[in-house]
Amino acid sequence: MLLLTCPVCTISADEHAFTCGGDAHVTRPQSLDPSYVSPERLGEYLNLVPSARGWCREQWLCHGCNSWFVLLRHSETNEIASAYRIGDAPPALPEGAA
Amino acid sequence: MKAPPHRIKDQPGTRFGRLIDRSQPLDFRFDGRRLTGVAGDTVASALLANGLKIAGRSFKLHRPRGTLGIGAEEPNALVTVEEAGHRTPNLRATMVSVTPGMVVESQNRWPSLRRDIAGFTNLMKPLLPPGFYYKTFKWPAKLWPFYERLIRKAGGLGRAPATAPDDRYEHVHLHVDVLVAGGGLAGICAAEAAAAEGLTVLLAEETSRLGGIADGYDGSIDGLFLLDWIRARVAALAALPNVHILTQAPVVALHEHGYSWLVEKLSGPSGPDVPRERLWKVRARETVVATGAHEKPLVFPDNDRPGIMLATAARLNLRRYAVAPGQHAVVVTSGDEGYRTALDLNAAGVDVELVVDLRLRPDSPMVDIGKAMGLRVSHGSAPVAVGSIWGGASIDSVTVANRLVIEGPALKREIFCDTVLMSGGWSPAAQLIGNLGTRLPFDAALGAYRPGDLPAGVHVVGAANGAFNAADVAAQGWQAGEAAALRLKAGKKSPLNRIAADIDVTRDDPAEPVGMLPDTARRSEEARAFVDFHNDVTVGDLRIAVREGYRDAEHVKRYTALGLGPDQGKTTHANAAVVLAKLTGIDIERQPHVTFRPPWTPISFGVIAGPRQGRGFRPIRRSPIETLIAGETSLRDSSELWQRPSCYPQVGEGEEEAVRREARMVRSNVGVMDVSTLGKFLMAGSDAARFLDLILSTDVGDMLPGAARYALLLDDGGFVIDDGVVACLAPNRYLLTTTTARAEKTRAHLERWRQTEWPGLDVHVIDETERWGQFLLSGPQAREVLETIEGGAELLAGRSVAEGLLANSPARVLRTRYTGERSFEIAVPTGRTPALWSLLREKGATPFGLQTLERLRLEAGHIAIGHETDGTVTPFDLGLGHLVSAQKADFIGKHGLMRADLTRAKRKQLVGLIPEDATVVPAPGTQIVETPAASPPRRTSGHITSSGFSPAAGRAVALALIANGRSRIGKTVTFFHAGEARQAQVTEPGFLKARP
Amino acid sequence: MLQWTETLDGPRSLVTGQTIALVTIEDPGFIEIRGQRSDRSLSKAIRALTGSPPPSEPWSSTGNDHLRLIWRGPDRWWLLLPRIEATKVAADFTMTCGKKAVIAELTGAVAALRLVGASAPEVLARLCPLDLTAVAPLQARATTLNDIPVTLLREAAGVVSWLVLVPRSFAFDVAQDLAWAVKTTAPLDLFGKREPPPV
Repeated sequence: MLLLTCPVCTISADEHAFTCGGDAHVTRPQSLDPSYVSPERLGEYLNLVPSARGWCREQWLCHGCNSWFVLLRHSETNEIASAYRIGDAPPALPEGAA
Repeated sequence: MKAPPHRIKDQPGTRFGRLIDRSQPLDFRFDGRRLTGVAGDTVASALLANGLKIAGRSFKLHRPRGTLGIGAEEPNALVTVEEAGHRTPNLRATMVSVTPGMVVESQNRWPSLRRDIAGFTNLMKPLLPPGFYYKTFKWPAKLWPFYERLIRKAGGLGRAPATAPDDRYEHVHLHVDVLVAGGGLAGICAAEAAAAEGLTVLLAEETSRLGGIADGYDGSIDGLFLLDWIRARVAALAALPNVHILTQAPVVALHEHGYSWLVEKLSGPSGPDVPRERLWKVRARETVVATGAHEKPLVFPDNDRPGIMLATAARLNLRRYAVAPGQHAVVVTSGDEGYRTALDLNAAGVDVELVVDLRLRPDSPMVDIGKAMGLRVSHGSAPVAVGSIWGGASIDSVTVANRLVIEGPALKREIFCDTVLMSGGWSPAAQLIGNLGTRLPFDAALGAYRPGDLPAGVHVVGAANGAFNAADVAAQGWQAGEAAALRLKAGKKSPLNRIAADIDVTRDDPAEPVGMLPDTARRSEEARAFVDFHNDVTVGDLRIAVREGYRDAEHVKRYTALGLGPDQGKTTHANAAVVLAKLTGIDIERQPHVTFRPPWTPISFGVIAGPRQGRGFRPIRRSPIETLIAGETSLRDSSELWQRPSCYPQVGEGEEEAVRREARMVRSNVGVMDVSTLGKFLMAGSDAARFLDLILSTDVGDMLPGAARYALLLDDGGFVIDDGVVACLAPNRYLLTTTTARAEKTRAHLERWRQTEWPGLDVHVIDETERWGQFLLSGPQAREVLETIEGGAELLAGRSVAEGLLANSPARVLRTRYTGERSFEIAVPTGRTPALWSLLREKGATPFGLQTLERLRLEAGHIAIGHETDGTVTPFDLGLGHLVSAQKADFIGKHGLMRADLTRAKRKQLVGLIPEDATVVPAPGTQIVETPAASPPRRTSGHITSSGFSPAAGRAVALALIANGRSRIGKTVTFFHAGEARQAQVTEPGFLKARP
Repeated sequence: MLQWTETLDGPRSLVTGQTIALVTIEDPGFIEIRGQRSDRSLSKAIRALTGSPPPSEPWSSTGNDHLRLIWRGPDRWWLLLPRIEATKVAADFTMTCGKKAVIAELTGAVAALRLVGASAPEVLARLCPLDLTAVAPLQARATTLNDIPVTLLREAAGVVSWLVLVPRSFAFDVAQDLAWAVKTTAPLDLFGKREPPPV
């Protein structure tokens, strides 16, 4: 049971007090012509999930303060490097990370 | 013939029997017999004291077995215990204290322990190799049900209790700085070092006493006897305000970020108010694992016979309960530990015929002491066979031979004895570390798995870490406590309190790791040399598994059931590694252990459920009028955590009758339904309209105040996920109402897109779901009823949505048409809904429930989320293309909808169905079959999504999604109902025009 | 006039013990305020209403005997006040708070209970995964009580008193769970003076 700390309201709580929303920093496909997005690009966006072994940037919702934030978590060890607000510059990966 | 009782004579001043009080005899029953123990006995020690060497029958082969160990590692002596009205099966006899009047039963035998009919299973062993259920009992296939019944009856151990006890189990949450798992010497030292730095410490011990197995050793600390020193330290710990000690509370699971579970067994009577067990959910910033080690058995032919026991367990039985394992003993040891037991047996008056030391040239203090005390010792020897009086279960001799035979036959010697004590060295009991996903590397010198790399914040100390001498154990404990303090106080200066003591306990030489004995065993001997006592897995079974291609420990485990018993292989996995390495030829360091999963020992379902059982199983959300209508109907439909009334049957009415009556009343008069459970979201801000346009497929941004529109919510793939009504209350202020079942998910969906995709938009989403109670007033008389209430007429003047006062209460009224009749959704603050409900009922509105609403909307041909939609349906499939904006530059799902697969011709489309037989109501999910004459599998082209008897049309109707459905309107399709093919006519969705 | 039905029939006492009491209180007036602390009009309006600037530290609260303003998120405050005043205060506040803030009266959305007494933390420890020792007086926390979402407010220093705010639809269950826990919880005597366990 992960212990997460929300960077917005500073509270640490069990993972049940949060909801995981998948990968962060995923760009929703847009194009210069607003009426068209290539099916390949759309298919990637909808169906391909990076699922990295190692450091992942994930978006999580804090139920307490109703804020989404980004978590830098190692998918194998569950070590948590940092958590930052949406829109903040993502901090660097920990030393020695791939 | 029963062996003479084994309680040694009272010798005051000796180290034997320190936990028992001979002046307090206790009567208890075992398998119907009345036996006497003394206060302080465990069931295992009391049985042994009474000379009962057989405690149970083994799981698969029904071999008679006696107690092997001293604690949680016990694989043989599983009993069912009945005390104070509670009956619990599968308890280890070594862990249960005898109480007066206790009733104990052995397990897995019939009719009795001595004469177990299934004992013949042992003779059938060649028919029961690993994976036998893949090989035998297969022919003839017709007989499988017969075999299955037999196997089921033979399987299992204890019998489950027949009645559910009225017990209470509770959960407690605790946050501490340091959790110390294990109250032995290492744990006590770790706790005191951490506490000295001012940290809050929870020290959790599995048994009812602290000290671990220190009472099995002699020596001194700071001039005091071991136990006296420990007692003093424990007293000091207990007095500290920052230390909490729990006993009978093992740590059963260790999870990441310092989260752990402890299951505390509460002593004393339990009942509805007093819990029986307590689950501690602990969050610790640092964790110290001080869980000790288990002695390893030796693997030789017939090593499982009653009378063969672990050496330290036998010694502890003497010291704690004054119980001797027999009268003539042989001790077999691969290290120094066996000598300690031999010396104690000697001192207790038991004949130690021989100490068989597997080592060729042992040279250590214990060996010298042993020889000096007159023990007969044989070096480089090993047990090769065990003998018994013909027909008996217990042993009466052991045959010993040279381990290394260079030339000529091995020199064998048969020694008469009634007990063999074996010690194969120690295996760290660090399975909790395995819970974290860490693999423990195999330590070849130790012959066991031992913790290696650990995650930050976790420390392992003492025997669990492969340190067995008291001086090392204590030092590691103190170091871990200090290290934990240093980590928690990072930046502050290092701890000043360096705890130390003068510890003098004989230092043992390491035990030699051994696999199967003798080293030159024959196949028939391998077939009787047990590696896993609980699941009856022998070296022979492992050889068969390897021969059949299973080499990885995980495969071997599943194929042979090695280590899968309730003892979770505590006395198994170290020996198994050595044996498997030899059989497979694979380097032992490359034999990973199986995954160590929680819980550490079996725990009850009751304690896992805690308060979440019976009435407390799941929270129920209540509508604001729940109390008012509770007596009127018990028929409920679950919708998330809500229990919504299905209908309101009158006296003598069944559910279907009530639904039809209510539907008729709505169509002819007026009905009222409680829809307070709908999600209601206020969206306000200068970008509110823009946000709504982005998240909904429908054009909504151009609505003026007072307008309301039905709209669809799609996912980015273009599929319908929710529907609702958007109402414009004022400029930049909108109300979105969504379905009950999806309210929470839709709220999360809105917040997610708002915050992560479009954070720059000036819009707030406020959840008003619980602020407003809401009623659906529907029917030709609905308007009239509303106009008779003060303020009603103003709220109905012209617009689709209005805010104002109704009967002097803040209110909103929204016009809808979901039922097919003119309807009004009336919202007032939740606290005022009971009054409004009563008022509307007084005015003649018929109450109707969810099932009736379903029937009404079906008749009207309207979709319901979750019925006509399943995550693969687009608005165009549903004939709702007009709800998809053609002009918006972007909205969620816009591009998804343009994908080729979503625009192809043969997609399933929503249509109505009228079965030819007016009384046949096909269930939702029924397939539309294209080739009914063919034999299964038949070709299908769609399915029925909703169905019911339509009171308005006077016949059964349905909605369905059928490939190319719209082009088949007017034609007939086939479905199967109760095994028969039936026809139905395809129509437009909606059946009100067909009213007779 | 449509009468108001109290969610929990409050105010009334549910359980009274030696070191603990559980009472329901009347449905509070409840206003949700959305906006930025940097919004001058909003800050000014809040200060006029409560006497203090809007709380900026997460989970802190300001107020007096009469009303309490709780930080509930980076752009969200909850205002609790007597129910009969809520509608008027919300209407007036909407006029003074400026164009950017959003005010919604949500009276009825939450029900309230109060748990008082030295044993309160031990009762809450049975039901909430929160570390209560980390909550300062007049601070709030969002947590769960037997898996039901609630907001806890630790009331003023001096007396051990916790206000439990629960969504209306869950209030009955929360009241039952709390009452049962209060009646049946055996003391844990955490970190108290005890006999040392045997060796």
